[in-house]
Amino acid sequence: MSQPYERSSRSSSVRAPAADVPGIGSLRVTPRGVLRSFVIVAFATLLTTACGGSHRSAPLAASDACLVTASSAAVDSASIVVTSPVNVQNAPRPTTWGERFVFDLANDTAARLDCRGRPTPDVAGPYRIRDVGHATLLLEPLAGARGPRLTIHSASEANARDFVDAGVDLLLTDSPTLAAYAGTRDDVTSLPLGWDRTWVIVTPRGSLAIDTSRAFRAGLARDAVRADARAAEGPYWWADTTGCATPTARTALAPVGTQGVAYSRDDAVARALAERLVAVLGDRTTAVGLAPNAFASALTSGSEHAYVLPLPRATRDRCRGIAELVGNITWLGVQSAIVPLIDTRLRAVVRRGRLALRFTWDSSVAIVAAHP
Amino acid sequence: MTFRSRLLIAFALATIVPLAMLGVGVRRQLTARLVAQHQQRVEGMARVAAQDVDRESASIASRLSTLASALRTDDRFRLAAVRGDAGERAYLLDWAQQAMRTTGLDMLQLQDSAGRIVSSGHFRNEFDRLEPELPRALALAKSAVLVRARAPEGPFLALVRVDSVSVADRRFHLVGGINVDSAFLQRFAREEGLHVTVVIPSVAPAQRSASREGPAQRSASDEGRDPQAPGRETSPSVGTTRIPRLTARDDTTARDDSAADNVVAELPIPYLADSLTTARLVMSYGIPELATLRRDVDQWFVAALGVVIAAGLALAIWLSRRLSEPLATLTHAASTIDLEGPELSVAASRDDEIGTLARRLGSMSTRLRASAARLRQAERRATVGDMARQVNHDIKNGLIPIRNVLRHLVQVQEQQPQDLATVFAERRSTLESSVGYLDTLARNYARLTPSVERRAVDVNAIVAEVATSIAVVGTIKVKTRLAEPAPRTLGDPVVVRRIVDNLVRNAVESLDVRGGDVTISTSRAQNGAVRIVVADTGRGMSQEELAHAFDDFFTTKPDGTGLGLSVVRRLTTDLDGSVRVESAPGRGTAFTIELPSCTPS
Repeated sequence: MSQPYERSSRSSSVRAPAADVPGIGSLRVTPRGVLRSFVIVAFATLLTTACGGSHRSAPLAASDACLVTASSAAVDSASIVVTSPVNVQNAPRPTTWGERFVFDLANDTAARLDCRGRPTPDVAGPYRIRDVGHATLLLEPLAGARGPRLTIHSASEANARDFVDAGVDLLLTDSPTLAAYAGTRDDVTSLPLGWDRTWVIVTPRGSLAIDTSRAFRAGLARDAVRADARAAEGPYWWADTTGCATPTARTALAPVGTQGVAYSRDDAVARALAERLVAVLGDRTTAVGLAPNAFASALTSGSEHAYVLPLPRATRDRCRGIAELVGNITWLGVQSAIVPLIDTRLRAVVRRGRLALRFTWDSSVAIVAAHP
Repeated sequence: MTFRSRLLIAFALATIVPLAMLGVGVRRQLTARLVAQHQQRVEGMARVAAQDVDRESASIASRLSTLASALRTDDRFRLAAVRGDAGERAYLLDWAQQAMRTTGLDMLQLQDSAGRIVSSGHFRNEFDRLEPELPRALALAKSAVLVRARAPEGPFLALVRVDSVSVADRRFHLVGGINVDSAFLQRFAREEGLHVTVVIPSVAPAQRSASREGPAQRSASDEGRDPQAPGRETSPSVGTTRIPRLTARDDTTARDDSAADNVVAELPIPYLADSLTTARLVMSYGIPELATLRRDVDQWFVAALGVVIAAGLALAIWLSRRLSEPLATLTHAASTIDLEGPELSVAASRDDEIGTLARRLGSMSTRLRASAARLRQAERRATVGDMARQVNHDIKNGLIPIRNVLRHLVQVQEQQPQDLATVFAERRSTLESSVGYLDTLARNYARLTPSVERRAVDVNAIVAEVATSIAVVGTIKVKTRLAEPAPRTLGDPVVVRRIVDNLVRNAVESLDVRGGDVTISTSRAQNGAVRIVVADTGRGMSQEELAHAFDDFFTTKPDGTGLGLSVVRRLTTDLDGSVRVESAPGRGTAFTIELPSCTPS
């Protein structure tokens, strides 16, 4: 059984990494795969308009509250850097925020909503994705689609600094230090995006003996993680089951002898949180870094003592989100607990006069094809 | 057990035991010398390892000292740690990781004077945890100390030291060291086959559990674990047999390394668990040539043993044949000595002990032959006398009825002459029977080789004839109790008559003048034989008399020949029958004759 961030192995139409990837919306997705990739799917199925608060600090145009940056120049091509792994093999179900950003560009633009839940006919795309190697993707608009050609680099923090120095049009990062460095350039605007993810600890067999106070969570956000974070703030859509079918655990869990706090080893925030929790919980507890697939399996089986993972702060359909969450983590039930820890957000560093960006419903950004 | 078997065993023991002792002795000596040589080498390597550990300790101390000096001039550190500048807190938390990278340490903690961790390199997010005992205990030790450092994925062994620095009147402790893992131990394994193991004292169950659940322990079965996690590479792990390995285990099992083919040297290292104790760096060197040497010795030993056993067996067989075969032949010859056969001449020509024994046996055989000849001569003479006495006895027995009849007739003639003819007619059969008996006896003796005639004999008739012919005096009564139908035996009627006649006569003679009864009974025994019992009420026989009753010439009567019962036994035997006697003093005697039946029972 796969995990929420894993593309279903039964999606037979997924292309090879080096192959051109047409619009992701055209990929066939198995229902089971959708269920298992609940967290990311939730980003893409928002029905509510739950914009984060970040846009309040963005320099919005008076005529469009969701517009992040405005550009008067019509550009043919633009370069983008994301400090997140991007693997087109995972399309259409993203496993990282970088993949989510890239795959959204390939989705049907008609289904996209802005931060107020309104359709956004002016966003660029949909795009055809081509992996040219060296962590670089070329995105070209499909026939009839609008928008500049995009070159997207997936880079580490160190390499991202080189791109910044070379003059990148858009930098998306979860690293405050990188964003701060990029913001030192005179020709860029650095702005935070909305709080888009809540990091939770899920315990299959009851709560952990940890401090869940706001002060503790604020300490986690301030000291434990190297991300733009805050103490998690409700309300949480998974905590409100009003009007939804009551979820029941379908899988009985056997007791475990280990005291492992598991995390996906590609997830630096989860790792930092897990390590901090281990430090607080004492000698008997250890942090267990798992490969994404192994983490998904462990999460499905409930074989570890606890799991640290992100959940989207917004979902289009709360009841559907809860149902998919329970459908994916079958042991979720009476004894299990989901404890929110911190919220995180990305930062965008935009080169002025190049790209126009618009906040989307899930606190991400979309590229505006042609601003009026 | 035969002499040959004993000889073989003796030879086997005489050859195998010394050879086995020689083999074992050579094996032990070679092993001891080889082990001693390698022991010296391993101990030398242990001394070098001790120097390496000292150098590592000094290196760690030097790096900590450098960090301590750098801290005093680190303004961002001052801002965060002394002034509590929240903007520099991230720098403080990350400081130890950065310092670890620059110094090459694997473990680094920065603690304040209260023992609170303000920055940790190997476990970044353990900040604010209190661990004041560690720097205190390390301060007591003069050299590097092994500790079980805590990492997110589980504990790992580290060789650490402590240093201190004062910044703005605040005291900070730097605890840093290097990971004691396979890579660390690899440097001590300067030779192929050398295994280096760290043996730590027993740990508390909680600690052991943590170690078991650590990432390194799980790595073998779960490749999905994070290989980059702190402590991952530094946790205790078990290598292959060809590379040095680090094994964290209970001290009680440490001696397992000193197996027979290993030489072991140990280096004590301070170890801090709950208190300061001692762990051991165990250097174990397997001696491959030792096994080869043992194998070679064993092979040569087995080969030599085979040759010796074969030679010993051949020699033993040859010797045993030289010795035991003449003895066996002599034994067989001795067992078949025939006093009338040829002289014993086996091995008499040998000039050894066996020849002497053979000659002695031959001499003894010769003497026995002479004695036997003399014995036969005496027996022949005795037999003639016996014959004469038997003839006399038999004729006497035949004449007695005739004499009795004649006396009776004379008596009748004198007292009742008118009845003489009648009485004669009555007793004529007795006369004729006695005359016939004597005639047959005479003819038998005339042949000198009496042969037993075999025909059906009416035992009742013979018994009745004897009972009527026997002369009785006084109140003696001769009774018969005859079986019907009359039992018939297969034999000679004269012989049967002689048997019965002798027994009845013997019984009558055993009675004293006051009278008594003699009872002759015939019957069939259960086995079908014809049984004749002659019982009297006489004085009976003692046990001694009973033992000699059938001996020739044994008699208790003044005028007896001592041949009656002897003749009875011989004649009964001739008829393939048996005789037995039951008697007790004062209770009479009963002779039982059993003769083969003429017809099946």
